[in-house]
Amino acid sequence: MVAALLDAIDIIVIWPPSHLRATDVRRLTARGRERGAVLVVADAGARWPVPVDVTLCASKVEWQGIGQGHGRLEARSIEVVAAGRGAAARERRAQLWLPVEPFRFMHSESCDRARIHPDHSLTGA
Amino acid sequence: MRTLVVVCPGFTVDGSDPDRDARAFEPVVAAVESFTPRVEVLRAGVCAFATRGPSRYFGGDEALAHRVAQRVDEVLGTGAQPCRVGVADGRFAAERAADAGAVVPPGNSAAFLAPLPVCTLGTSDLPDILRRLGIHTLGDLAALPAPAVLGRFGPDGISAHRLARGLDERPLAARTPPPDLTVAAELDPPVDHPEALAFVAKSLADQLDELLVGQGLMATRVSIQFETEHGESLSRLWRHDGGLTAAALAQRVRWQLDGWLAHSGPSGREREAQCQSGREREAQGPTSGVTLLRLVPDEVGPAKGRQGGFWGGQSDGDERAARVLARVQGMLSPEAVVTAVEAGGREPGDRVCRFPWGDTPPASDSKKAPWPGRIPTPSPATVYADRLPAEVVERGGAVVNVTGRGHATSAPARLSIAGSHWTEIAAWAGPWPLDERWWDAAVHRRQARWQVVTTDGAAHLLVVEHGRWSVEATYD
Repeated sequence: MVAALLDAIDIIVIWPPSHLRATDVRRLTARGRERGAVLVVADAGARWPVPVDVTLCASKVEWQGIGQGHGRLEARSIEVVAAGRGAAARERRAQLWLPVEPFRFMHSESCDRARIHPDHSLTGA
Repeated sequence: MRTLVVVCPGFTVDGSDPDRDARAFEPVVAAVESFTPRVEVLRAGVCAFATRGPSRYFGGDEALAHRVAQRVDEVLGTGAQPCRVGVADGRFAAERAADAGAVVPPGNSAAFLAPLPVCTLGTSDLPDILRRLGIHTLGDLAALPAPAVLGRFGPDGISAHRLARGLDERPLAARTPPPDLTVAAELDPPVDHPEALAFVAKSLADQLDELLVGQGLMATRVSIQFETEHGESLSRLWRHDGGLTAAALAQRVRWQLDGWLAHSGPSGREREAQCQSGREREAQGPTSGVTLLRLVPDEVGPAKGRQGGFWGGQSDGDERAARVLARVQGMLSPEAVVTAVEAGGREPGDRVCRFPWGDTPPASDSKKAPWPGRIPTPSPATVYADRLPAEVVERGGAVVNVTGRGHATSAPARLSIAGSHWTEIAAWAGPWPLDERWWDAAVHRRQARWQVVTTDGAAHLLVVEHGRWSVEATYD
């Protein structure tokens, strides 16, 4: 079914079942590569039997706007680490504000840091 | 034009729900349609038709009126008020005749209307003006010269003058019965090979396409129905906004059949999944050959043709994606492919509404409503279908609670979700009390919500209800 979806849809997010065969996965990724689709695999580390092109990892989550009994959750800063093989072998780190940095306009420097380079597709495929 | 009007006084037309009134009136219209195919529904409770043909067939206006009244009363049942039927020249005169239950002879409509008061003309302020000018009956109005009425009262005046003289404002716009567009193929001997069935489907789809094109129509939703020798049946709706062509329809027959056949020997896991989604009827595939294949156009519109968008709009890519999604729907079920839209609600789970892909989104303006007490943005990414039980304690180890006035008994210090290890709370906000539907004891809910950030960076939306803590959603 994912194979059918790969034919027409550009970005597919999947949650892989635990019993995946490496041959099936290779066929899927080959099909995706042919079509120029991106397969984003959630929790790939444990379940995905073949190495992925790029791994995205979010860490160092910090919430803003909430205190000891006052305020509310407004935004969080996370550090995203992209690492992988091939063109993505060099590890890249970026600090992102989600949804946006509170109380300040995004200045150009942080915009630059937040941008994911278009050459690097996210995962797999 | 000789017109017969049927008035059913039992239909209260308060205007609150015109759709409901129209639906309730439908059986009456169907009964009247057994006399003539061209019936006009004037409003819920009142319908009319031209009597020229039918009264010749049924032996005169009186006989026809009698039969129609009898037939409609049968449909309405014994408890309802009996209907009134009137025949006269023109719709307005016939409606007045129906009020009196009379059959006015041809050419006598003006004389029949003459003694009636001008207020029967309608709700506009014209009757009031006429009365103050000393024109009390329709006869008085009809006696005035038409050019003078037009000069003094304008278009409204002249149309009232026409009505008073027993003429019609306009000819009847009768509804035309919808043509039957269903195509079906009975298969004898039964076919159990998908290839052979696909072949039949192709010719059937061509036949339907020809039928539709001949009428300048296109089908945007078609129901494909199978029946087998053992009486199993499968029917499914397929939708395509651009109209389903013969080839596309044949393809969908094939997908539906493939999906059905795939269920004939399902593995344990699949069968379990189907039972959970409550589709036992389809869970077992066909056990014998298919004897009947039927295509029923469910939604038909005028064929306007399609033009691809130049900038934006519908593109080839959209169409390809639509085809693939329809195919996946065929493999799983229509409910398995959903579109999510934003909706309104106080709980995070209510803010998203999912409906099968291809269906029209459920109409609701709940999104625009203010929803006081809803959780401010950003919204949590994970909303648990069943809330996870949790425990929150203060520094001393006592469970934190919320007072009747909506204050926290103490500051929360540690959190444990579903019996797992304790984590320290780094920051918290709340309690935000939520008191819903206090006017109905059965659905009344009182809860207080908190936002909590733990030292490991996780943020949760916690709820206290009746002193019990649970995790409603997680910001991740």
